Amino acid sequence: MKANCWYGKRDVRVEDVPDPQILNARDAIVQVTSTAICGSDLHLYNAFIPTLERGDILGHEFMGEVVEVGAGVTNLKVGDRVVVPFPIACGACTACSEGSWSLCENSNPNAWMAEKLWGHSPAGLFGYSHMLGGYAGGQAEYARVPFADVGPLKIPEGLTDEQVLFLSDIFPTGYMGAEMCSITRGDVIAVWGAGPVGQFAIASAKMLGAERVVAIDRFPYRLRLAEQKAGATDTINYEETDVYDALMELTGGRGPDACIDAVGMEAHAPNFMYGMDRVKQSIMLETDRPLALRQAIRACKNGGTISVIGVYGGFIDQFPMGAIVNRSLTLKSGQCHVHRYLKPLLERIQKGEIDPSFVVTHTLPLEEAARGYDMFVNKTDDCEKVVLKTSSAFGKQVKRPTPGQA
Amino acid sequence: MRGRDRTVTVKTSVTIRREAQEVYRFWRDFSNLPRFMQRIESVTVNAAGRSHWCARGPAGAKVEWEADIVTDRPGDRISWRSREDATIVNHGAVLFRPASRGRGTEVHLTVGFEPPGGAIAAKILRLFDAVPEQQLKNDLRRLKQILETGEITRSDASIHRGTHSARPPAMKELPNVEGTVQS
Repeated sequence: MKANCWYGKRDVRVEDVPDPQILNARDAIVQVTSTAICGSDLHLYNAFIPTLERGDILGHEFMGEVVEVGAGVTNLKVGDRVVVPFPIACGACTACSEGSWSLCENSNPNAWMAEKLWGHSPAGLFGYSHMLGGYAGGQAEYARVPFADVGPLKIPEGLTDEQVLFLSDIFPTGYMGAEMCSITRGDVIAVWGAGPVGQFAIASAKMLGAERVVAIDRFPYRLRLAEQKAGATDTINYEETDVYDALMELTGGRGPDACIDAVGMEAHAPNFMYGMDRVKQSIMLETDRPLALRQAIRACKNGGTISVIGVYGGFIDQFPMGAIVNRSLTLKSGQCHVHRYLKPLLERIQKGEIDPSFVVTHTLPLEEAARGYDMFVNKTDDCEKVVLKTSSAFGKQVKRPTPGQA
Repeated sequence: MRGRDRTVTVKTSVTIRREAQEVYRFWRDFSNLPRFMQRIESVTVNAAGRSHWCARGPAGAKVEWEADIVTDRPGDRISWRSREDATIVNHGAVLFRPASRGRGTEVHLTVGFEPPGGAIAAKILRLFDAVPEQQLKNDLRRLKQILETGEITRSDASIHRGTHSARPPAMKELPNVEGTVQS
């Protein structure tokens, strides 16, 4: 089959690789119709995530049709159309039973690697390094889905791929970011990053009752999208305006009730700290550049909440702990517990409360994945979100070799 | 850790969302141990209750010994000790304790051995990776996977080699025991 493989920094190639196989009884094989490039894939693309290896298949946002099920999968059948959540969860451990699906205790076969870096291991993820499981990703014609009796969501008729694909990650991730803000009516929420996750955080904050939602980015086209489609009431271009001053002006000097960091480890800023962080990051004195996070903490109102949904991988420097302690701030974070949100958010889509396809700016065939990554990382052609289509989505019949043949 | 008497003792633990009796029963059937203990190739138990253990190291070094059960308290603990004439005098104990808030059972494993000197000692030490605690912890993690999910979790990295999806990371020279991931 064809799959998008990582070959090194800013080098991805669509190659012929062996088809996935059923390895566990609770596996399913999904023939991918649509898959997307996630902002967090850019951290892999830029080689910021350790334990990714040459040849690894990327991709953790995908959907398609079930073409094979293991003996232990009774709720899915061949032909079902499903969206697959990016964290892999067993459904049986304590974390899963408590709804903390992205902390599944059984889905990372390489848990020892993550433990070395983070102390404990989270769930395994599709296409996101060996430290997080060594699972092949979904930017491919086929994907193996472990614990298929737990994760995949069956999609009812009448919805396009683009309307439901983002249930796999960015819609629930943005939603959880807003939910962690414990929004009460009248709140002002500031969102750093108007990338796809930021757009869904903005839209979700509105759905959850925020009075004002402020989008912060440096690309005018992203700020426009936030205002016109996601529902941001205000926008700040941080290359033109001092973010802190602008937020104080908007809130009568209080600061936002909650701040969402939808940027993560590769933040930009037009200042000296950015230069310092880039240098430190390049020589591994710190692994992540926490510029948006520092700004969010500084701006947040006394007693407010910082909700971090941008991806960080390792260590940050110059962390303003003093502000957190002395101003009673609450820091919340997590990889999205996607399984928790699948059904409620699907219902919102069905009711027409939101159409997630508004973020899509580019649709390319899988074969052009490299071009998609290049546009997304360089923000060319006003790129917001790239969806990759496999040949099966274009109606061509793809011959599937018998399992094990490859 | 290595004591002054050269006894090597390794301790590790895991919490499994199952009743203590169930975890005990699984462990008490020693023939189950090779399913999750990477270095143990086989354990056979004779009619008198004496077990014959066969272990293999990363470089293929093979060691066998016989052991007797010392303590057997259903749902609480099992301990065993090799016979005094074993090439490696070794012992092990596993405790099953209810975890708080109904989170299942804490499994506490202690394994110790007294390596004799010389070449045999070197051979025995090769049974373990640089960090034996890590190896035993991985063993317990596989036990948890079996008891909670029914199987050992496998990713593509556990089967494919060469340019592919997700290739195996380092620490992969281990023999792949049937039904286990390499880790």
